Amino acid sequence: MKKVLIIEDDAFLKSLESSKFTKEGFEVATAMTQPEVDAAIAAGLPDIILLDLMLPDLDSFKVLEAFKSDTKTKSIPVIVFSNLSNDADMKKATDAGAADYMVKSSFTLDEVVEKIKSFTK
Amino acid sequence: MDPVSEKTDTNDFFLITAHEMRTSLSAMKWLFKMLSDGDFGVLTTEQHDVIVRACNTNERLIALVSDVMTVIKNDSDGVRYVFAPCNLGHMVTTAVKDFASAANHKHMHLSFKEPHEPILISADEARLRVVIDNLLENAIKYGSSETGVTISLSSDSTNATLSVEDQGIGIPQADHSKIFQKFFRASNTSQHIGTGLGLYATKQIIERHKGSITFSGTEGVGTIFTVTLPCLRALH
Repeated sequence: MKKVLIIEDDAFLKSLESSKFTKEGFEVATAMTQPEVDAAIAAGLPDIILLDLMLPDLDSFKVLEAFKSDTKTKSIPVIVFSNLSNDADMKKATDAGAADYMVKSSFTLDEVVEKIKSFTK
Repeated sequence: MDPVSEKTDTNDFFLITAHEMRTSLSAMKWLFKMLSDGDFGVLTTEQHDVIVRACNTNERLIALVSDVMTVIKNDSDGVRYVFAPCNLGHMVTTAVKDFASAANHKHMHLSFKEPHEPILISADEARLRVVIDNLLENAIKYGSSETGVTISLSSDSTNATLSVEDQGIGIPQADHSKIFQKFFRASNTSQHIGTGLGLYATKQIIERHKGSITFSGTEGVGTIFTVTLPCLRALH
């Protein structure tokens, strides 16, 4: 079973994502603070990470850079999943090693599932 | 505070607000889709239809928020448009039906006859619907009570042409050159609520569809807005 780590602070969005991904046969882990991210990684490496950008207690770009500079996690695809849609954030995420950038309101969860599947074949 | 930093602060405020709105709209988008797919149990036909309508309304709001963000950022490249073939006649018919109630409140009549043949264009339907909605909303808002709004749609081998004609306050000649500018409001509109973003966003959306918008009319008589969009076969 493929494992998805969702780094997201909005409880409702997180619950809908968890529900959908679980139903689609994925194992789901969630985090919204650095200790929670560290604990989730220590509990077992995910196959893919969905990373929100505006988190209250976390600098998402630093988290992304840390994933990409750690030999344990650098090969794990990270999809930046945000409602920010300006070019600067998209470029910054891509430059930091994000596999893709998806604007939440532009996609249904079915489309997100398809994207996850395409990265975890 | 100098004007530049004040403008930046205002923009940041709107962008943060729009981001928060998008978060809620995303949740509704996902929830409506999961509900309509039966993820939380089988729905009756009536329940399913209502959810689909709610979903469509939500999509229009998402498109609107995106366009407001587009206007604020002046950065249309970052917004994702999804183009697909659609029948412009059906879209206009649906929009006219949706605005019938608003027109009735002013004892106005919306007149539109959908062409028999489908008029196919390549469009981001949710965003193009914002264009149609903006034109109808303006015609009703600025049209006089107990008058008619005439909506016409035609096509030739190259273009589809949509026009919306009202009988109302019109646009003063001195304002003609500025009517599509961001935050501009005509000098005779102070009695009406507006942001000055509608026609600016409308023009941007039309241009993303490789189309154009023009207008004519006389102050105190009325206005005709004309939108031209390339037909699907003309794009190939």
